[in-house]
Amino acid sequence: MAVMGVATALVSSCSSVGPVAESPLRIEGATYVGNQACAECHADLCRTFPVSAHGRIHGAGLKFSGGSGCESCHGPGSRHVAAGGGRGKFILNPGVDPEACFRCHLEVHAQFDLPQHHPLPEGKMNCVQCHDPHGRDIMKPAGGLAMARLNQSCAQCHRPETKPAVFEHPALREGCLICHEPHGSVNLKMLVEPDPNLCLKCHAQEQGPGVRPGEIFIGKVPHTAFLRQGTCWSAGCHTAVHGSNMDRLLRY
Amino acid sequence: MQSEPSQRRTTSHQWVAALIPVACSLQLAAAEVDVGKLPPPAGRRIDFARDIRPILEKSCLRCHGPERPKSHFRLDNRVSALKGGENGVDIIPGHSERSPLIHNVAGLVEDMLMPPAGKGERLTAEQIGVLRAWIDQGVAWPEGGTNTLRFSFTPMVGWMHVSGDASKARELLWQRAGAAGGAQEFHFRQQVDPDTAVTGAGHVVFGQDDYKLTLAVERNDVGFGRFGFETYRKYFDDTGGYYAPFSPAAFDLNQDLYEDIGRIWTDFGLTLPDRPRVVVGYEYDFRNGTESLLQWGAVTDPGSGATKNIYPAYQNVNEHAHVIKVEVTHEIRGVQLEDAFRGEFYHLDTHQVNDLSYSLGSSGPAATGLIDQGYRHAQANNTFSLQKQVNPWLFLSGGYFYNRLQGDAAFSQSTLLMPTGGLFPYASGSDIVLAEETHVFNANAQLGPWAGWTGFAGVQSEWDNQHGFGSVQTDDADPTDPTTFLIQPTVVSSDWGTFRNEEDFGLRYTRIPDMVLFADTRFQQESFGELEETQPEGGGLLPHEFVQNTVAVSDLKEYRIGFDVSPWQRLGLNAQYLRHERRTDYNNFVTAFGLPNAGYPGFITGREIRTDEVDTKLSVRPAAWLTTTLSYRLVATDYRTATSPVTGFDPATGMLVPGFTSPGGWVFAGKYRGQVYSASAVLTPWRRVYLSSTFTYQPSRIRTADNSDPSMAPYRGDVYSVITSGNYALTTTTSLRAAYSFSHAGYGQGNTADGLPLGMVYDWQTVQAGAKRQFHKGVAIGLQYAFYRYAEASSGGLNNFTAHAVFAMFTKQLP
Repeated sequence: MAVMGVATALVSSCSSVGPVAESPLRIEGATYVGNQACAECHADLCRTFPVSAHGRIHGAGLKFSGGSGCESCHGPGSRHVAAGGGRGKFILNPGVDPEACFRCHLEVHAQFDLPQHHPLPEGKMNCVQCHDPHGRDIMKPAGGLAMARLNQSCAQCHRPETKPAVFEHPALREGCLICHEPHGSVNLKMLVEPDPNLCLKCHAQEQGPGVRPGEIFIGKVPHTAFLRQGTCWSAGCHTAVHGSNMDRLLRY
Repeated sequence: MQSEPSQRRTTSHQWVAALIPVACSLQLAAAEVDVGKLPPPAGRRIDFARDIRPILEKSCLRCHGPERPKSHFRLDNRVSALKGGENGVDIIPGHSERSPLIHNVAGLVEDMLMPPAGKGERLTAEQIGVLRAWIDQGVAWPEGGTNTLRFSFTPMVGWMHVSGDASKARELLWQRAGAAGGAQEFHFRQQVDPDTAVTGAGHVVFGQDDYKLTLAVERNDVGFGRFGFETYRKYFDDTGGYYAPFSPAAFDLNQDLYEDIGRIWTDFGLTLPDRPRVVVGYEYDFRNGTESLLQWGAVTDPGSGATKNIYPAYQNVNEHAHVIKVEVTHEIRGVQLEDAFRGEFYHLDTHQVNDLSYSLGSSGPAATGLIDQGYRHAQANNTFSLQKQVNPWLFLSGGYFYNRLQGDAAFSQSTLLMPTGGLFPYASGSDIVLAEETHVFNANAQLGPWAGWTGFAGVQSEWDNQHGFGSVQTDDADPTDPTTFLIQPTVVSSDWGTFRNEEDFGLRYTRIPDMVLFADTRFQQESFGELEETQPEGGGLLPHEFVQNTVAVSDLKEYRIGFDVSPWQRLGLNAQYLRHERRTDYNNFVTAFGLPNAGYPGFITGREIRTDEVDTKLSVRPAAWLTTTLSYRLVATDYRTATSPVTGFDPATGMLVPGFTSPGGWVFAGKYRGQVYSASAVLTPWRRVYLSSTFTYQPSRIRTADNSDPSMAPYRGDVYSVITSGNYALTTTTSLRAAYSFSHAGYGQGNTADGLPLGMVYDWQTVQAGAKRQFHKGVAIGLQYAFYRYAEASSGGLNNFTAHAVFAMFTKQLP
């Protein structure tokens, strides 16, 4: 559906003051009004914004035009103000269209262009589902308590992987991102590594004198043959990577 | 342009009551003013669009628009304008000299000048005269107001042709080959009256199984009802892994793998003025279908004896969740109170199929593992929070979150042997009980700004308890050989509790001209206790007997410092450094059948993960038509793990020797190094042209402790990508767009002889071009062509595809 998203932009507007190309932050006829005008109505968002993650790089004194303040993400606000506000009325909502986010987060844009990605470019998700752009903790969805809880963003949709289990994989205590790249990856299931390196970066041990050269023991079990076959979670081995209700070694 | 009641000096005007009874019954009043000071009405016929609307938009609607109007007085439509606000009628048609609106904009009432200072420029005498003439001429308002309809509808047709691996194509493109059609987008808004609107939006694309519909009825200061439905399809490639020396080197399931993901929701809200805002909602989430798994099965070459795990696996999924939501928000004496309740009833059934044994040349797997799992839970959680701006420099907030989950699960694994079709139970369990309880307290303070400083501090404490228990049938035998099966009735259980405390602190300093300095820290202390047991029912020393009692402490520290500086409109520079380190120490007491210190679990005694990260970004606008951005990120993460010693048999003596398999202790487990170079340029050399291009290069490598073994290749390589697009306005009615993106991954691994290369090497290109023409007001057509080429060298080209897609769409808008 990515192609359809592009097509939507094609049919979105037409200039009345001569030919003007479409651009991500363009709102026809609108000009920049400054943060204070926004704060008059959106005091709840503006109150904590200075101490937010975005508040680190957005300050009233910074002069880079169009690169700081509310309108660097929401577009010029004069027509929105003149119309008395209103959701989506002459104002851009990056929660719907991520283009405003991609203007600064170049590497994230590139990640979403990789073969395996969350369906944000396809319009099935948006940045705000996982991030609070105005709040103090960028790593949590908007609303709720002020600090993110572990794996909270992912658990909204990925219930099977985050539900409780009798025997849990302690890696989940490090967070989902210890194994997965949340925006996009070259690897299936958006893994940060697709091979046993993913597991062995934690599950390593000093090999003792009883271990022959070239042999890899994990715990008390020689794993060399298994590792030569493929990944730790394949071929009926540790298939219950997120937790098991049966087996303490997460084999099923 | 309403006044506060206490600020207005009033007298009654009975004659107005005769003209406008409604107003009379309320508090129609006008200030004692000297109307002789008013500018005279303009002596011409007033045109609302030309004369009045610009004044309202520039000076009035900022506060008296449709959204949260001050004093509940709206000036965006005639009905509301004549109705007035909290303080009565402001416009008296035919009598501008008696209209409080005119008195206020003229500044005739003390402390009631409209717009107030700082909210807009004072109206000129000429503008006031125009407003007076408009009122005297009857307050003509030919646009807006009641019962207006705005409507947009975009039907589309499209077609995509794929040559090559169509299954991979639809996984990556999120659409399948063939024809598609429907409504790409539609929305409407029916303004029933100034306070009531009905809106709808969505899309319906047949052939892609992509549907979305939202409907809402909203009435200002009363409430709303909202309904929504959406579903889309996610596709999965049915190919497993690839091992070049095998023939065939890869296998397909020849199955149509996809899931339909969606939800239905409805919300009803009460938004009465000065009353608690109440929202009650219901949501149904679902996910049904079949997905691919990475738990690939074993394939053996009878000739060489080599076994590689490359046979594809899949899982049927049936997931449902019913969610009930209640939210209450209210403000009492400046304290914003919010309570949000969420109840969830969740049900998950899966059926997993994994090959366990396949020999090259055979017609199919000789043994297949079938795993059926069921899980359901009821969960309730509630968040109560409050916040208050105590004074201009102090903002406080806090809250409490409670969560309780009660669930049960069932599990059944069996082995299917071919060609006999014999089905042998392997491991199973039912009535596995799971429970979870969570308490979270949170408190925060924000201070400043004071002398350029703004700071915050927050603390969050979380208690988590979880309990799991089940009576199961387990087996440790070879799942491909039923003759070795030894079903053992077993009790499994776990209890763990966590206390996690987190403290956040941050500072911003903005007194240095053109600069923001920041420093943030985050600390987290966690203590964790766990008791896991696996005990054979009825006693007996069987391999399943196991007790692990773990006490762990974890300490997380995160420091971030940086700046953003922008001394000129043409330049911005920011940089930051982040240190993130977490260390966990486990104290395990383990009893297990077999060797003492017998390895997993309860084997890792310590883990340390430390990350250093540097980010910097430079934005330069050398000309008004060119903006360039350069950014760089360096990430370095070290993983260290400590283990217990593992006793082993010395073959020379036949004796158990402590530490013979592993002496234990700390080991450098992994080292990750990654960099991201990005460069972008946005060009607008003419108003007709918009060009944007981003280039990103990301090299990374991870080495782990066992990479010295030839089977365990390090994972290293790079990804580079280009994303570029351009828009060109050919005329005021015709525009063109083109886009190109390319990415390349070079994570090839050279361990074919000793292991299974799993690295990814591919090239991925997309070209899009389109045109749109607007024929007359509200009617437009668009054409779009897209070309995709995907070439995956790491799978020997088996996943390669080329696709062409064309789409045509027509848009009709009203008005």
